[in-house]
Amino acid sequence: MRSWKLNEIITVVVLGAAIGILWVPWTMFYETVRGIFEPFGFNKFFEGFWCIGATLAAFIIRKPGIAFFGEMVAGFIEMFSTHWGITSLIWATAQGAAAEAVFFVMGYRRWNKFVMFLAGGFAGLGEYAVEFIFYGYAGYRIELIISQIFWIFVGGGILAGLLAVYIARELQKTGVLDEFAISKERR
Amino acid sequence: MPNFTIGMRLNGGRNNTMKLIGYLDRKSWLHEVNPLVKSVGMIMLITAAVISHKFLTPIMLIVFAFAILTSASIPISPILHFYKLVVFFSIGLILANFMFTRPVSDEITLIFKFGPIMATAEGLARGVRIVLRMLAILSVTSIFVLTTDPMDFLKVFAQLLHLQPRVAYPMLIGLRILPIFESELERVRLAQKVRRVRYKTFFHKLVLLSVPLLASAIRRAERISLAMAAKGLDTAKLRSKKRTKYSPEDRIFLFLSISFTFFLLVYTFCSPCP
Repeated sequence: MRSWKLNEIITVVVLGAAIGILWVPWTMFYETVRGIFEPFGFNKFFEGFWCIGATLAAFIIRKPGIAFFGEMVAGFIEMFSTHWGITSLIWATAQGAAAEAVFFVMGYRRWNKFVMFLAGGFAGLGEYAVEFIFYGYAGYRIELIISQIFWIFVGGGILAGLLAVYIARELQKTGVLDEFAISKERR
Repeated sequence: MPNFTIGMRLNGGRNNTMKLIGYLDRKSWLHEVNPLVKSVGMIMLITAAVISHKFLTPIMLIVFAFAILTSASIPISPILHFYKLVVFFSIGLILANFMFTRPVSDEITLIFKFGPIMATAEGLARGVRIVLRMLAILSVTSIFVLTTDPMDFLKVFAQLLHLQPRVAYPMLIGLRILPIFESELERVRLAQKVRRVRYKTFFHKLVLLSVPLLASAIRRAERISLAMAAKGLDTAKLRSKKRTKYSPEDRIFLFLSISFTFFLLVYTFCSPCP
């Protein structure tokens, strides 16, 4: 926490708030898709977007703890705006911790697409672990569980990991990220 | 209509039908309860709902939540509106359970079999039970969401975790800035509509909407951080610690939630009822 600059903290918070806002229409979208895809486990793919709070902030600022903090802020904002209520903090803890663990293992040094995919995917798995208990998935047949795990990993990897890279690169073009770690990397 | 301060409109304010739940600015005994006490109570009740595998537990929790809300004269109509949505969207969840539940014992009531799909009556019952559990958790958390001022929650939370001012204050700003973003998202959407932006795919739309929103968010962050640094909040230390006071309402709420959780656990493990 000591290495975070004030500017970075506020950027994470403001990004988290903006993502929290995006999650509100996403919740409605997801609830609609869920009805169709739930029996096949494919709905888990769309759950990946809920992990982007961790990956986007970490990809821009690249410091220890930012992934966890970013996801917690976004979860906190979501708590007061959707029906998930205080449970969204539980989810955010699992997602943020899982993404943070991947960055920690990589030593906060490597920031390529592969690492981002892994971070998003593992954040998705963290989310799945909470849901496994919450919705009692243990009672499902093994085929459905495998399909769910596969889709949540891929969904987290694409919708949180790769999408975060893409959005960050687009943001970089606008010039707002000039003073952050993302713009100081050697290309 | 009740006045939602942070309640958000989903379809751009064109009509009020799609509104998610938000803080209700009123005066009641639930509003007086310390947010920390409230969240501890919530977590206990939710844990009881998750552990229990009985049919009646979620129903009792729903009744409990509605009784508490009614005692503070808070309307339950927004929750009921939400119920309709959840039930409608839970059809998939029920179907998943209906067709893919692993048989626990040999005694299963097979309804039909088609390839790997094995639809059983037990699976259907499980699906309904999980939806009931979701409704119960929704009603319990809405006690918290409807009656807790986010600012109060954050202040208590920051004090509990001894967050430094430079971490705690930005979180307050994050909440303050929400309505601005809401209107900004709407502005971006309208601007793209005026320019006849064609969204090729769903992802294209997601990126086209989020990039302008996030870019303006970061620009705003820069200005805020300059203002905060100018006020010396960057290097400020946590000087005074306010002792949290607990009111009679806190004790009542804590007593109610502990005793009800206890009752639910006893019911789950010691009662022969379903």
